Amino acid sequence: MKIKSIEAVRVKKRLQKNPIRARRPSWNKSSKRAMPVNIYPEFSRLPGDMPGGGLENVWVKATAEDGTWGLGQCAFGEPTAAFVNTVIAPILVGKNCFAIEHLNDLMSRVSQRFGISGTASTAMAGVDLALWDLKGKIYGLPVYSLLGGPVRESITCYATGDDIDWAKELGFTKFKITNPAHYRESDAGIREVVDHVAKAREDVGYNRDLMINPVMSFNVEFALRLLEELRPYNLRWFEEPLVPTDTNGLAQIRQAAPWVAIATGEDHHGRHAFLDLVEKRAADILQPDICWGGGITETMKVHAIGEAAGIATIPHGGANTPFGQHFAMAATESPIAEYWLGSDPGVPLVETVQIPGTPIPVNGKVRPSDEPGFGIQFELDDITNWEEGTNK
Amino acid sequence: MKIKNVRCVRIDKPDPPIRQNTKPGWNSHAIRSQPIARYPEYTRVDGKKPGQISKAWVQITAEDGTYGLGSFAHGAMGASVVDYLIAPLIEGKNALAIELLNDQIWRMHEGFQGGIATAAQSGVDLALWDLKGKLLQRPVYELIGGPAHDHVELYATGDDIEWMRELGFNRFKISNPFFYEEGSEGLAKLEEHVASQRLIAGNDAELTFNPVMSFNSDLALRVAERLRPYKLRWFEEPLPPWDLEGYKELNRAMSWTALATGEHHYGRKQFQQLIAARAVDIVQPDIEWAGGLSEVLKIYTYAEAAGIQTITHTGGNTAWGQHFAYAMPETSLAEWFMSTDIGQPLLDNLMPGIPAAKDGKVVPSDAAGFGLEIPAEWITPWDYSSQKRAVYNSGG
Repeated sequence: MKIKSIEAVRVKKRLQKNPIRARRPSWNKSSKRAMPVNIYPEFSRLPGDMPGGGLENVWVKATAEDGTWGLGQCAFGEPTAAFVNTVIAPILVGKNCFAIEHLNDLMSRVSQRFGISGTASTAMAGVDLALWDLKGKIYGLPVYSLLGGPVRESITCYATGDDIDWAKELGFTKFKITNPAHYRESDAGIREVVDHVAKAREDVGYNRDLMINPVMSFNVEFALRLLEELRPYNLRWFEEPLVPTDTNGLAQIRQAAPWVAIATGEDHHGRHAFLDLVEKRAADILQPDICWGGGITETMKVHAIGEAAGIATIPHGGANTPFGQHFAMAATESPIAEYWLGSDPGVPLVETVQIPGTPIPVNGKVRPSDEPGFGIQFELDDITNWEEGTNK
Repeated sequence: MKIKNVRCVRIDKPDPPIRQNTKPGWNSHAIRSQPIARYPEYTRVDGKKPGQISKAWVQITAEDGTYGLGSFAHGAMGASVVDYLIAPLIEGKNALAIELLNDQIWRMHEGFQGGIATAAQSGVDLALWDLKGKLLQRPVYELIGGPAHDHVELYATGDDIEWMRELGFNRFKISNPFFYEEGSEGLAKLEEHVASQRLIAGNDAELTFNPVMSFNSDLALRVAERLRPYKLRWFEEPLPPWDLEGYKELNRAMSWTALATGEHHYGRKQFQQLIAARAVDIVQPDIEWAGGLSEVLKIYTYAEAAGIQTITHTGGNTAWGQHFAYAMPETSLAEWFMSTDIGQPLLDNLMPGIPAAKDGKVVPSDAAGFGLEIPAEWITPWDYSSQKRAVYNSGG
């Protein structure tokens, strides 16, 4: 079966009828967070308002000769859409839509000159996911089954966010909180983080998994001085303290602070970046983002590399998307999944679903749809091509 | 779809017709060294050395009666692993959940994995892939994301270079008669063997050399230096699989020829160590030994990310090897092992449904599963009562 077209598209947001009112606004509208750019005090610490933040998701539609189509999601707006339409689409049209390994290799090779991470790997992710959705639809099987799953009954999720009371009410028992400080703030920053962690630890109890995510806002010396202070709080893992290029620094942290696991990966794109982390023994847990780092094909490769070296793969934000749910259902060395809980407390999760057909966690567990492909329930009417969908 | 039954079976393929105008091929008489060659009482002719056991098959039947077939090495020893350990573990489970089933088998085997248990697992995994393909009515190469090539390019293993060239091959792998304890005299004989084969093959043909664990790191370095003028494409498995340091050292030292190994490495974790140490340039897992297609895909994945090719051991003669090589981008070749006599059609030694090499190329069947067309009446349950004590031929 040949590929007829590959295109970046937009999908319609579905609005809830008679939505349930929130008790209070989510932490996501108020918790200050640090990212690399926050070394400059002039910028907001709310992710949507930071430079480079708030770019819209890009969807990719892959259509086969017989008219069957699949959808995949990626991110970071216009540049990604342009990459899909101008670089990837022309080399994939007319190729065998089932030969995903071959197509992954083609996309990787054609992207080498642009830098295979970043925009290229994000565009590849959208295309790869659309191809898996298409293959599943033509085969009549859910993607997790094509990948050799299910390997578990259901996926245990941890909740990411600072509304711990709401996460507990929803039945989550594992939690990850934000980080307010940038290394530039030095000792005052350390005190602020310790207070934040201490409060969260009190809220969740001592024997629950609690993680913290500084999202690239530390350097090695700050991270190590902070970890010394955080030692009593028994963190399950310490996530992405450094920028993704500093893998030697990460290995140094991991060796110097054996009392906490090191997780990283949402800003590492593609298998080679993870091979480097694995071979340097720089992380205990790999966290690729399926929609940024090359798609399901690439993430399964990351999982295979990690697993062979005894290292788990827990994708970034996996439980919020059908892609991550299908991955977790098929990857043996992926014990839990992340559910990013950024919706307002009191609003049922089912009202917050962005991709129709995506199941929501109940009591901290979720199971993907058994429908063919990823089970995404957008209709053709919900999809417009990238340019037409622009409302700017 | 659930698994109804898993069993070890024999496949009794009728002998091919007696062919006129054939001559015995290298495989019946070539002197090949292996680790046991230290002891002169044993022959160096393949098939008669101690420790050689033919393959067995696995048949896995789903609830609806569809079945898949796979084969594995060290058959007689692995049969009981299939029937008594793996079958009760996976019967009743989802036949399509191959990752789950492999993980459970690995975890059950943790105390005795590698070698026989892993070979037996290979047969089970291959039967599961064949079954999945048949249930979905798709060739396995498509399930795993191929094809990535128009055809599978082959090299031929054997010493009858003129005959192999007549068949259309232009890449050759030759045997090794030399055991490392034979010192300088052995080395001289080896050079003579390689030089004469290079002369027949010509300077443009790819020529590789396979000592199958017959050296130690000392002699491997001496051989590499001695064979330097003969421009070998790769130097294969000179050392036993446990000598990781020896492989690393040799790979750093021997820049003029690629280093390949893997047919005696079992499972992804052994390959992970080999690759992470950059101890070889080419990994050569055997799909019927190393854990099956699932395992070799994982080995491929790690190797490819590290810039290392996966070219399976004797893949070209098997349905599994053909499907793998057809599907995977970073696999440029497959091995065709010459087991037929000179003048004998290649199809004589193949199971029905497996295409034969033609002009040094092959394209796997696009029928469902691995495309095997083995008649049901050839398949019988493994007969434990017919297992015999080995008899070892001496001399040679």
